[in-house]
Amino acid sequence: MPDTLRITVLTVTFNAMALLEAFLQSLLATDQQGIALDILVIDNGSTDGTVDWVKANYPQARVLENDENNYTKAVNLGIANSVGEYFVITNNDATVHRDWLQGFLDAMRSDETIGAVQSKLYFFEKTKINSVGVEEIGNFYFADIGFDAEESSQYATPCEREYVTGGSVMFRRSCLEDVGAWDEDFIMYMEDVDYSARCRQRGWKLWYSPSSILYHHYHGNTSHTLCEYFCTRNRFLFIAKHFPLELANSISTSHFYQKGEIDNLYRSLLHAVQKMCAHHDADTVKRVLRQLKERLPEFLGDVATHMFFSHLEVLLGLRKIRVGIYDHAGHFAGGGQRYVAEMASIMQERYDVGYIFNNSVELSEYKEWFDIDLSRCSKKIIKIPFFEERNRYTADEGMVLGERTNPFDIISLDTLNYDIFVNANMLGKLNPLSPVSIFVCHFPDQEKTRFFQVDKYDHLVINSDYTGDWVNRRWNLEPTAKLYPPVNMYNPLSNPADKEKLILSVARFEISGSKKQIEMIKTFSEMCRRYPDETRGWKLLLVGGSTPGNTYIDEVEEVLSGAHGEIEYKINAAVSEIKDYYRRASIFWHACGLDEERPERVEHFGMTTVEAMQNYCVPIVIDGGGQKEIVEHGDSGFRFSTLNELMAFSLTVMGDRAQCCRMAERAYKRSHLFSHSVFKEHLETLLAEAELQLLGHDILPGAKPTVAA
Amino acid sequence: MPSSGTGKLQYLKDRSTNALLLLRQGRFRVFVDMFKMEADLQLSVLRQRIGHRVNSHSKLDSEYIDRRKLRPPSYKPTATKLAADITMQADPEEVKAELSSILSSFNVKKRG
Repeated sequence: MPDTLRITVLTVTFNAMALLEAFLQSLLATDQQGIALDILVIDNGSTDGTVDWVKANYPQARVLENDENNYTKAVNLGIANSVGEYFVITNNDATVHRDWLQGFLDAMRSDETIGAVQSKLYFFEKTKINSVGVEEIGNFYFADIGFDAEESSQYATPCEREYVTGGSVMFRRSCLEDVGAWDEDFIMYMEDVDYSARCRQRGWKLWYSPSSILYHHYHGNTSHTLCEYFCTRNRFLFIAKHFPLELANSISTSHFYQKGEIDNLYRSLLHAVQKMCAHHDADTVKRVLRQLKERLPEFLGDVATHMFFSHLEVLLGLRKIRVGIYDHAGHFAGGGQRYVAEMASIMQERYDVGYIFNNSVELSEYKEWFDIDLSRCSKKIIKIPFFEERNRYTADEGMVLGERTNPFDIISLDTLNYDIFVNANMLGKLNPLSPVSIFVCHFPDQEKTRFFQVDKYDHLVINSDYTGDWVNRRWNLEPTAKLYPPVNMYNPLSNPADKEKLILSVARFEISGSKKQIEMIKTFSEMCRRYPDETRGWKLLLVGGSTPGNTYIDEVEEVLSGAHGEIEYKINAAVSEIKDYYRRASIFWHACGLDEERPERVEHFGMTTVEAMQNYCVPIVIDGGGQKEIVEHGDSGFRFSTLNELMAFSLTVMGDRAQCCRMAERAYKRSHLFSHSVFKEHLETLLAEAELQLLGHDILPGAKPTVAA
Repeated sequence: MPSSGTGKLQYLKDRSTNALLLLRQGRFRVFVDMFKMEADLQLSVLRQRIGHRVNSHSKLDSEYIDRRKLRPPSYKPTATKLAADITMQADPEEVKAELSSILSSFNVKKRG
């Protein structure tokens, strides 16, 4: 033994400045004869100024900053930065007796096979005992020996222990090197029990020394609920590591189960099984999995037990994440289908993505319809008997009212096959059974009725604030993410200085007339009649899709026959043609929602407005629906409430070429907010959240983004 | 529920131990909550057994799966982060095969 022993004393802090002074003063006052004391304070991200205070007031202490609020990680950091033959871990919500260090050494010197020595811990009032060791009290719950007991001769003798507390313990360096790093998955609590078990497995004795004394503020800086949470959570980790065959039997005695915290039970068990796979061979793992298969349904039910094992596959990295996308109207080429296909094309880069349809459709058709390649996605068709029996081609949830059972359960069951389930087209009666679920809402068309399930989704994605507002009003739900539809109509040939006297409208010719083409024709006609000089040379062009036999077209033609000015309409123009109209047009009109009372008849977003803005058109659009989020009135365009306003704003733009150009530039800049790259960025954020739900490991908030000093 | 008589006995023993523990600790509120949960569970088992569903909202009903997103989450002081993949001591292929076998043994799909 060298003449002077080097001992590193580690204490880990987190917002405990108020307690540190008394601790450090008592530590410095200990009997250090024959000892070279090295004090190490590791801070877990305190925000109360602990680090600066220690540096300023106790220069003899070394201070390191942990990059995470993780007690066990701090201990490992301390060991890695320790210098002595002995290493002490201690709470700092405490003071130590003058003989605290010598008391440890007395025990260590008595037997070379002693790996760790625990102090005698009193409560701070010094009348009752806090701990003289740790023992199992049944069902893998642990407690301090002597807790709350009066002083007694039975605690006056040094003796061996099965477990020691990390509240005040000295380790022999050779023991630490032999046993290895502390398990950082424990974060805090029971990490000492785990390490004690590991020490004993390696043949080291654990000892109690009554002459090393510490006075402890019990739970001085942590709450009881925090302690109970971690003890219950870490109990499963401990069992998984050391007694895996007891894991299934230990569920019923878990405090999570006893308190009805099944979400915590599910999650902590998942991570316990993961821990078991890291520490045990396949035969043991298989036995435990079979036991869990038998026992888990008692606590979770069959469906959640199935979800548990499927979840395990992906948590253990045995397969890629599976995403299921259900679109009951996927056989139509609509805006909603395009929106979700954009999502799928991004997701297929790293997940196994599978579409679920009710009707026959090929994913190659999405390439034809939207130029979106979904070749890495798979698809399956699940017919819903309820609609088949009624010869309905599309599943209309509005038909499901008085049924005893939910016809969409057949789809629900299939969602069990996925880790992330995306309900793509607002089918609100579909119960998601995947671990993570996303409901995409283009607009809440349906009221909350029987079998309403939207509140069972983890994420409610909206396409605009307008939709979000109605989700809140109709369903009393808060959306969790907003993904504006991605728009990509950029044309390098578009130039604000090279525009024609052309007003463009791009909208379907709906039979109901909801896109208001006739109102726009009448307005332009009136402008030309009233202001022939200002409108000279200007033309209104209405472009949009239509179906054969559309009676609205007849009405348009009738109005056109008596209209003033140059007005033209084009049905089902090719994309290349539409691109060229955008390039040439100076002004873009959008009137859908004018004089409408029903919110669903107002444009929920308005992709064509953005397309126009991407081509330097000045948007003059209805002051309603999603248009309010796209166009900033007076800056990147104008918003009107009446046809007179439409006329007035249009004349303003038409009469001032320079203003028109400036506004077009601002509209162009504004349009980037709705680009594909922004959509992708926001989707990635959503998926990162979903992945965290699925695969995330616990951390304590308060982590600092700094690297340990 | 356990299929064998031994399983049922063990289950009863666990429940009784928990109930006594809670009462000894004076945690009456938790005891009452647990009692209600247990009663709900036993009732649902009984309903399944006699083929009758009082609340037939869904064929997939189970307390946890149906209510998990509707209830406020339990107290959990932690946030989450993605961690590096673990190194498995168990042969991943064997574990994968076992999980696959377990999943294929479920009959939940037949109930849809």
